[in-house]
Amino acid sequence: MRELKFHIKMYGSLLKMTMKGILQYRTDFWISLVSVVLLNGANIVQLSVISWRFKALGNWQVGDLLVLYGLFMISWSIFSVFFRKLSKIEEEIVNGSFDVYLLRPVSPFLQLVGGDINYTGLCDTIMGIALVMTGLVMTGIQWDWKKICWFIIFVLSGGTIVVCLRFLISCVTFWMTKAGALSSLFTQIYLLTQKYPVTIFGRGFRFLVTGLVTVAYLNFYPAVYLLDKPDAPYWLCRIAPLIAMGWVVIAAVVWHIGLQRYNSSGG
Amino acid sequence: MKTFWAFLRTEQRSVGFYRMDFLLKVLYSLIAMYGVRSLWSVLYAQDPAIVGRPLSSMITYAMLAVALDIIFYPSALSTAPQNYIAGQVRTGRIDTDLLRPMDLQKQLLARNGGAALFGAVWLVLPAWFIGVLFFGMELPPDLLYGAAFLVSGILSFLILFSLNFILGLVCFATTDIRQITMAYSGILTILSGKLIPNWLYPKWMQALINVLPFRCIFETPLNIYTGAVSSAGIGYSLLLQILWAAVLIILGKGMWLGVHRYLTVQGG
Repeated sequence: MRELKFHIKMYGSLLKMTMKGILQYRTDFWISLVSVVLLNGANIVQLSVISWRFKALGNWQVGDLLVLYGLFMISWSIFSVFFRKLSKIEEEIVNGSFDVYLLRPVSPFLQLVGGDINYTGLCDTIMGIALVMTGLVMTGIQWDWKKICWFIIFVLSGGTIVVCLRFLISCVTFWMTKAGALSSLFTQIYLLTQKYPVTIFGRGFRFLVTGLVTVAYLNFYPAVYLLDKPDAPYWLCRIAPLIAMGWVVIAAVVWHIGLQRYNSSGG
Repeated sequence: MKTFWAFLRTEQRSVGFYRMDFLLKVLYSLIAMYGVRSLWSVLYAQDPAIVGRPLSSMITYAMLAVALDIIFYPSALSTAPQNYIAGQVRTGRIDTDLLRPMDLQKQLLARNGGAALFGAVWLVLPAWFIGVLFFGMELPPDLLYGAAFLVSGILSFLILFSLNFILGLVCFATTDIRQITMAYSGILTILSGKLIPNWLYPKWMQALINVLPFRCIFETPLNIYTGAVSSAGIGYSLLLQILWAAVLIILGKGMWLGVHRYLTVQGG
């Protein structure tokens, strides 16, 4: 318990230091907001034109598609705001700055994560929330308190899943030096689930994003439940927190094995 | 032309070192091709009349767009003029480019053209081949269309190169073009017919697209490949592409001469 308190205090002070560092670049925030809108704009236009011409994509109307896209952005932003440093483990190991963490008396994980808060990632959150709200207005669905609770649970679970997956991909660096390829492969897969409801894809792909890579839990399953869609059984949607916890356990185990391996090879 | 082959040979040499990377890049675009194939199959099942052409032709259009995107995405190649100029301006090495006995525009065209041709052979061709074998992509209706597609593809590249070059010149004024590049990539994605075929847009938007050069980059070669234009229409399409390429190359040249004069004043 005392140890946990210590860790939380340490994380707090690390964050405070980083915040002070980046607050000097305030215009960065506005520039990033514009870029986020521009980058995602093409996809939003595509989804809008398709649903305008074809009335819907499968049984997903334009509002549903906006919620689907927005949910993904919100969950993803948890990673990009607080944990983006995790995807830089490769870099840190290669240039040797990772060794510094191992020498200090605070857990290397905390040092890695506390060393960076990327508040330009908040632009993703803002745009995601805007899309979800627009989508909800268009579909005319109103969330009761229960749905709102589930929304928060889904976002936290989705965020945890992204963080763990990105983290695991980076951990591959402990074993092989090129994790970049794996990360791009992951990107290609989630780009499809971010935009389109996975029901338009074949059984194999659906299994891949549900059972193996689980990126469908960032937006598809939450959206099915929150928008009362018939695309998947609700129990499959509501196990999102369990899946997130599963990934946390796997990530923790891999991290510890990786650290041990790193020690031995460094010694 | 000699310089072009020299740059091409340097690109060619790198393939042995990065064979794995090439395989992966092809794999990435196969995933994206699978995505658009699923998308259009679902939309076609919903309403074939709106798609307006046979399913096989539509998925060929969409999948070939994804395959071409490997080399036609504005900043896909590290040798793309705007990437190159931005890098040189930031590090201040642009003066070495000016010292060379060849005009900057030609230099960059040779460099980027070599990389693009190389990418076409080693990345687009395999993706296309797998698409034809396993994803139900069609071949062009006949040899004439196939040949016209290749010519049109080269013209597409020239138009894209010229637009990129003009974008790169903006860098001399602003030193950082990352945000402008994102806006430009977004516009190109929407207006080039890559993501959404132009005939699905509202009428006013189609009118706008028709007077802009962007559709010449993706829509024109793709329509030729899928046989959506008549054989008489091919001539007109290619002529329009040649016209745009000429206008943009001259515009880029003019802008570069202007920038160059300004640079000399700065240096003097």
